[in-house]
Amino acid sequence: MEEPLPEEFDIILIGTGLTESVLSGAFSRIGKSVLHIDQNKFYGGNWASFNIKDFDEFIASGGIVEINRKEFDPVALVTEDETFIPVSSQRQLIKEGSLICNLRKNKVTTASPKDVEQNQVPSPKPTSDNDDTTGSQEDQSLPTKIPDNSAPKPNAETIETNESLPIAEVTEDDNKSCGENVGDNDAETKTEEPPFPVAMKDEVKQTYKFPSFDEFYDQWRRFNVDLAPKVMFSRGKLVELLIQSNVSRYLEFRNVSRTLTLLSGQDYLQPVPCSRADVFSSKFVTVIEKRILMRVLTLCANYEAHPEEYEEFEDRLFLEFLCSKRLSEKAQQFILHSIAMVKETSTTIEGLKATKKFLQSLGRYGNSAFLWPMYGVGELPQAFSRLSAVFGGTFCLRRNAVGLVLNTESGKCTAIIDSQGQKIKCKHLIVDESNVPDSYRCEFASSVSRAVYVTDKSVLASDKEHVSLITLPPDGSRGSVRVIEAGPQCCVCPSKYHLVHALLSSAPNNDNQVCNPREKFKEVEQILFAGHADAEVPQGGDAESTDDAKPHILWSSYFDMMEDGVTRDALPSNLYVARGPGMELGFDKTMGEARELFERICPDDEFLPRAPDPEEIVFDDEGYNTESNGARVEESPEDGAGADYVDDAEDLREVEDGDDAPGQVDHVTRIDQSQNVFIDFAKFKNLNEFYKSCQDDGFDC
Amino acid sequence: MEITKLLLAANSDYSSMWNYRKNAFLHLKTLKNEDEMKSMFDNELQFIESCLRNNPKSYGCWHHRCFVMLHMMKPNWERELQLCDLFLQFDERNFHCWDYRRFVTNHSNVPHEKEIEVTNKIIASNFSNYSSWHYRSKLLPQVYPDPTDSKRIEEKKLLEELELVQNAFFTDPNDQSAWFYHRWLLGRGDKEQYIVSLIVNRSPPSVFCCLRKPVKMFNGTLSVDDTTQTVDWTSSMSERYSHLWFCKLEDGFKKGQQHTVSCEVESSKLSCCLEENCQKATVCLPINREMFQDHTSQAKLSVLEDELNSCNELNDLEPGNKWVMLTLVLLMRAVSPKQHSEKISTMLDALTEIDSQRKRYYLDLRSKYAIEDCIVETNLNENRLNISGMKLTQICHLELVPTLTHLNISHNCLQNLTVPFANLFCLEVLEANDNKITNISGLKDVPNLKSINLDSNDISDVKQFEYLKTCRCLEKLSIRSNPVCESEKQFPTTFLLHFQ
Amino acid sequence: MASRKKVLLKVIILGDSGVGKTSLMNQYVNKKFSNQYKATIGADFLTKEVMVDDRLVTMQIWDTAGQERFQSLGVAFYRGADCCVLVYDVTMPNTFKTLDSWRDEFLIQASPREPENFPFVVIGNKIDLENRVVSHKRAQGWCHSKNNIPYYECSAKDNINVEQAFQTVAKQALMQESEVGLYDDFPERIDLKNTDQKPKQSDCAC
Repeated sequence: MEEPLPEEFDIILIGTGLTESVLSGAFSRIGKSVLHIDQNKFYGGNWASFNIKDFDEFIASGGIVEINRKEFDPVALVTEDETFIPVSSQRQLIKEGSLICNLRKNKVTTASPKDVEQNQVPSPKPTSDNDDTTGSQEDQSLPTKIPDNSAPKPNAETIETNESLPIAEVTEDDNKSCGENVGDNDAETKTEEPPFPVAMKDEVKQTYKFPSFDEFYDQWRRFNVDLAPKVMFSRGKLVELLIQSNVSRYLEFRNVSRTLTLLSGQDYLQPVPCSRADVFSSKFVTVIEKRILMRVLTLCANYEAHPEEYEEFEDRLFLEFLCSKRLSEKAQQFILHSIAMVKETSTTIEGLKATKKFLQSLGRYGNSAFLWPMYGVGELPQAFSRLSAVFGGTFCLRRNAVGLVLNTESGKCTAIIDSQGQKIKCKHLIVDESNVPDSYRCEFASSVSRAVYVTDKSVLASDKEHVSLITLPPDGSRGSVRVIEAGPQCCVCPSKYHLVHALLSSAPNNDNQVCNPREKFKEVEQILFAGHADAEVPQGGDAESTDDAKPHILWSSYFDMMEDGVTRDALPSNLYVARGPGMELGFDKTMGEARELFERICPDDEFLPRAPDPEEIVFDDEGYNTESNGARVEESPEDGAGADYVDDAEDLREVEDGDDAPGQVDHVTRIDQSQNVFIDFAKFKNLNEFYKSCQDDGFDC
Repeated sequence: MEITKLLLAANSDYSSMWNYRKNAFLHLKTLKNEDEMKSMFDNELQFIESCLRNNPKSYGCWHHRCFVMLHMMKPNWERELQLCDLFLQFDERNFHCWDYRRFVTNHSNVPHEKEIEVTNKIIASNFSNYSSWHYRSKLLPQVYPDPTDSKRIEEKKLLEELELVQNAFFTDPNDQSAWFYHRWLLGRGDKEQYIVSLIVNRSPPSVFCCLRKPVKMFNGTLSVDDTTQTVDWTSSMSERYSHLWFCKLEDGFKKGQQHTVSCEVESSKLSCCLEENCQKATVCLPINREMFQDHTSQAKLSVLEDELNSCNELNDLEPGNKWVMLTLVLLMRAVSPKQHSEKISTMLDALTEIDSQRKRYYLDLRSKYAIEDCIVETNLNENRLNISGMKLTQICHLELVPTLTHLNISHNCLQNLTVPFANLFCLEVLEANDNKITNISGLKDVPNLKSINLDSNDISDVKQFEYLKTCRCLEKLSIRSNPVCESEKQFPTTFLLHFQ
Repeated sequence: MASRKKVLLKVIILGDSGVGKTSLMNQYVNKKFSNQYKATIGADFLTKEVMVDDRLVTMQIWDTAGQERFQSLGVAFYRGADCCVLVYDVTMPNTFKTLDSWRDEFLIQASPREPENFPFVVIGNKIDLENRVVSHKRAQGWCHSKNNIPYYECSAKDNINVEQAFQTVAKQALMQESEVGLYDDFPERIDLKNTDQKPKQSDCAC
């Protein structure tokens, strides 16, 4: 039997997205009592990262969670001076979701022993055997054949939400045992038609053997597929916050090591020279272009100091400004789309600001402006959640609110009623968009169209593995598309694969536009990959030579993510709605929002002060010393209040820096067996100040 | 040992502590067996590494590491290379580490190609570091030697390197390491040695030989009338390297006879004919352009022209960049000094303004060019050189013209005559009027100087004339319109000096 | 080559709420114990340097920070663990029964490369108490059935067997790590902490 939750908190948060998690950490850190719940069995909400199996399941369900809800009448829990406002749990997070796998069913011999071993891992849910229906479902639903490849009509494979995805549902055990029989049959009969024409060619040439469907899904755990892929500006708000709060010790990062783009009129990607080192090494621009490019970038990095250089363009387009600097068209595109990453219609000031922001981040951690969190963006909310938990926050997944309780007179939200029928009081309530009561909803403002691909190699071959940011400028009817590619070194996919995310923003009510997200990415696929996801590539041999270097799509998924449909003005004054990830490339808006909400609720408190390292916490002879007692909650289930803080968490005594605390080690950098070199915030500061203008120096050397 | 360890951990620059450890190791080596020593040395390397982490630029640490590596039975050089990689990755300009890297590669026979690859990588990540360019300049000639000159690189590679470095200075024209490397690439190799001029004196019987390149020791073969002589060459000056060498002839010359004196060094031979009734004879090879083009002559002219063009473009884009302009000047001098003389001059003028801190440098450079041009255009066998009225700020190349009897340096901007004139053995007349000379210390020991004109200069100290006492032949000195004349009224404005 | 590199091992402690995970950690690292039962707050991870077979290793022991209370540990907690300690309370049979699911949960979430060889250590805690329910034999039997997991009976309160248990943890974790050669993680070993003052570009190039 699960113990009940405490009955009263300072702050309740519903949804473990990044904004909510940052806030959760911030409130716990200053000693507020925090309850943080999420209807999902995972952290992150719209910010989550999934392994392939959970991802398949998520797409299939449309993000709707069947909460194990107790039978009870919530209204009965409400007193006379209170109003009950129901929250719908059937909110659809994503639309138009579909999945396609191009891999053929296994022939039994191909699975490596290792993979088979992995299959033997039992996968029941942990502790709880009563409260988790989704968990048990998951155990049997290893999705196998998703689309039927023998029917390569675009619409045929599209799996609409909820139309249970596994066409042939096979459990892991079945999969193994039937390998010889069913698997063979499968390969021989049902999927005889090559699901992937190019693959056939390759097989003939014996150069590369595509993994089989089973090999692919055997490694399902090694994937970390982001719902909201984003990169962190090295000097962005998130990085500063991670350092400031010491949450960085829970995380590991890699550089986004290259930026690629597609120049108009070309059909291949090329690296964008962003840094001084890039410009120097680039083989795609002439020396003259290099000089002008460097000059403009140097100017942008410090544009406020040179108003004369841009004044006349202040009200004009950034593009015109760039033009005036004698930049070649190529270099203009580089700056506009890949460095500033602004629209063609952006003003000069907008462009300069964006360029400066990029350049400021450049070189802080290696030759790059961006960081990418290992294991995906989904790690970020978890890191802040852990901070919250360490400072006493109570976490409860697979639980949501069936409704809010408002004080009829004040209009304030005084409590929630959770899915277990418990009424839990709060002073402030923060919810994500999917947990907003219907009465505060309006139409979705916009949505982000997403495509995810698993491919066999990088979109642009290189001698080392990269995390690539790819910006595809708008072309004709196609809007600008952002693509992020990461490989096994980032722990987002197993070795030999690459994971590719594509995003484009779409206004929902634009008529005559293609609505199906999959259609929207067709053109992108043509650029990036050899052939379409839906096997419609021409079977002729002539495409072979040119497309040979491009990666093949092994698996793909498409969906639309809904954004912000909340009438914020109507909300009770102590109910706050955190925005979703949206289209933003980085995290500045999100961090800004988190800080703003925090300051509204606790205007006099510090936002995420540095958390002490464990060594810095002093225990006295009493065991847990009296001071640190303040940060400890007397856990008495009967009492259950959990909010009885004696003191602030601040009372954790922190020892002076440089104290000879034994075993002081570097917590941030953790190296696993894959020999990655991680970025450790503590280690590097200002490694390269690339755009620092060079002071003249003597000949006399 | 433990105590020194603690001390060094705190301050790794404490070199006597390292020495103490060295001695301890040498002692222990006589006592312990191989395995024990190995583990001790391994520990020591570990310890040094931890010291280096704290102070990556500690001389003591790196030296001690060399010591340990040299005393290990089976040093793991590969590991050391990786250590260098890491330290350089962190700070690619740590020259201690570069030195150590050279030490390691020398001991471990790492192929140079591999090391070039390393510099490639480091330069690609940050080209503003002269250490890696420098290392590269040491490696390249070993892998891609120029067939005619082992210190230079073959042309194909040279072109590639020029392209590489061009990328660097176009990316950042203010980066000096790239420019320095560029200059190295364009620099000429070893000049061929040859004899520029010979001076033969009948009495006392002696020969002066002037060489194109200064040498430390000269062993040219001297023959008189085809008979090889045994001679002792001494340098005329006490410099370490000298252009001018002097020898006495034991046998001397027969009175009233014609002699042919030849001097030979390497593949160069110069002969001088001493006419029967002459006391002295001189011969000069005509001095050509090539003699002076010291930054640039070896690369093909077309390459230089390409370079010149791209630098011109860069100059258009980046007007007023001193590095670009200076390189342009050097390139123009190399390609065609005559054709570009005007532009060179305006550019040097501009440089004196842009880079006023180094004004003197540019003025001197201009003077040098002017003198070179003049020397090239003068028939030196007439033994006269006129470099007056050229706004010169310095006098140079005197060592190449020892046969001069008349030198006119008047109407320039010279502030002093401190360069030694003593090598001008034949110089009789020096016209140095209308300058701003204050110091004439260079006029010591000019053996045949008879007449000096120092009118209209800035000499204010009468002691300056002391130097002239050593010019034994001096007959006439004119010092009109010098401050010294006003302060010392009793001093005649023109006077003759007779020594003995 | 027995390398003397410094190794960092991540160890995570799992088990139901109240079995004494934090107390065991604290007893082991800080030699402290408190009788008052408090949910885990402020406990993040503790580090301790241990000698294992002549090697100095740094063990980082991660607490669940209370997130296990409502079965709400996120997958990030499990990442990169080198050893997993499963703790139950010998006086609470339920906490023993759930070991199975904790182990399974770990294998799912951490997805180690070789799940069947991944090192676990089981600790039966609170043997100082009178009202023991789960027998040694039963616990040992379970451990045996799970590929011979080392089993220890401890008391965090009286500091019984705690040291021994964690020594085994370190040993087990190191075995997991040991395939990594000296060169492979060479980069990790050098961290130039106080050298952020990289020479600026304007410095003399020589």
